Amino acid sequence: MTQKKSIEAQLSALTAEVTSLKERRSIMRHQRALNGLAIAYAKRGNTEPVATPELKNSDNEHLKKTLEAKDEYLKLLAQRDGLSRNVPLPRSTIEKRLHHLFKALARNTGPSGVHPLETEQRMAAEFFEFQELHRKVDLLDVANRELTEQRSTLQANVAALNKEQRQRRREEQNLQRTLDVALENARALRRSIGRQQRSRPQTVSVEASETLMAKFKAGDALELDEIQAMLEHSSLFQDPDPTEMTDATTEA
Amino acid sequence: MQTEALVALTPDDLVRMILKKQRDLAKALPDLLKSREEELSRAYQLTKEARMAYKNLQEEASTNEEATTAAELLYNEREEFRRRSESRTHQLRNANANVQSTLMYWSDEERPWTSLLEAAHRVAEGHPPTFASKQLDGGQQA
Repeated sequence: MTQKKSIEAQLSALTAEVTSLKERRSIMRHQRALNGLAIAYAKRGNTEPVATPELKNSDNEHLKKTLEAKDEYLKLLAQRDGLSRNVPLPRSTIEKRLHHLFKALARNTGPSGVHPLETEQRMAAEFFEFQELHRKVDLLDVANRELTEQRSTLQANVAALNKEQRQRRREEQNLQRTLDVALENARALRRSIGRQQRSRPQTVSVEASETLMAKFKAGDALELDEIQAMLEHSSLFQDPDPTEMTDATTEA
Repeated sequence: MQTEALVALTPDDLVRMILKKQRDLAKALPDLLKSREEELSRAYQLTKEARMAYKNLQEEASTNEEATTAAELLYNEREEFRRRSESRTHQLRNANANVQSTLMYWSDEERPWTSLLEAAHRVAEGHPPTFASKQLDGGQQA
């Protein structure tokens, strides 16, 4: 009886452990799935920030940093594209044109370099526009540099998140192994309980039952579990002398 | 001039440089035009003489073919020189007229800056460029 209780206590503890392990595994899987989403978002060419509250409210430092880096990257990308859209010519062409216009406007190249007033006005307006374009190209270069730096930051964050994912996967595998062992132990304990239940008549040995019977017959007081043991033992019912038992009880 | 200096050039700086160029030209062109006009009148004179000599040979029905051919060649040569001289003088007259009108425009303190800086302001405000786009279209068509 004590052994059964002990096994049941063990089983109960093991079941609690299994539940806890399963919960941990579920949390880890969920976190890994979130990390996977963040990695996919960071790596793909998504142009819209992720609106998943779970991702946004995650307390995972790497994940938060990755999302922030991606959002910043998207912001810089939009800025760069906005600038780039209005700069249709490469820097070299703009500089070449600026030099050409300046020479035509301000360098004295003799009578052949004299233009009508309308042409000079157009060239001057074009020169000022190309000056502004050149400033835009400078801004574009800065934006491109910032974008490249941000891309590196993003890649570093993704790498950290990937490393964390690998670590999590290993931890999850270890947890799974522990869980498998716990489940196997629980099964063994349940099998053990089953075996005990099937072999209940043998739980009290013949010698013990005879001792108890002698004690009973002698009129000594029996403990509650001793009575239960005697009841469980089939030999009690094999005793054919109820009178003797009654007498003994009366005497007692 | 370095590109950075060109980009840093203010509209006033550019106008000052244009004015200097125009003033230099305005100073030099009249003399050039004068010498061109002298050259042109000399070319007219020479062509006229060559044409008369050639015509005379033709009218006399000269049997000296060599002399007639030489007179024709001389006339053609001088006529060619006269045309070139006339063209150069014409270009110089135009240049002189252009210099006068541009000089007047760039010297005017009240010149309308708006039209000159409109395209640059548009680019600064983030609109697509006008001249650069035209150049790009031209490049693509070419």
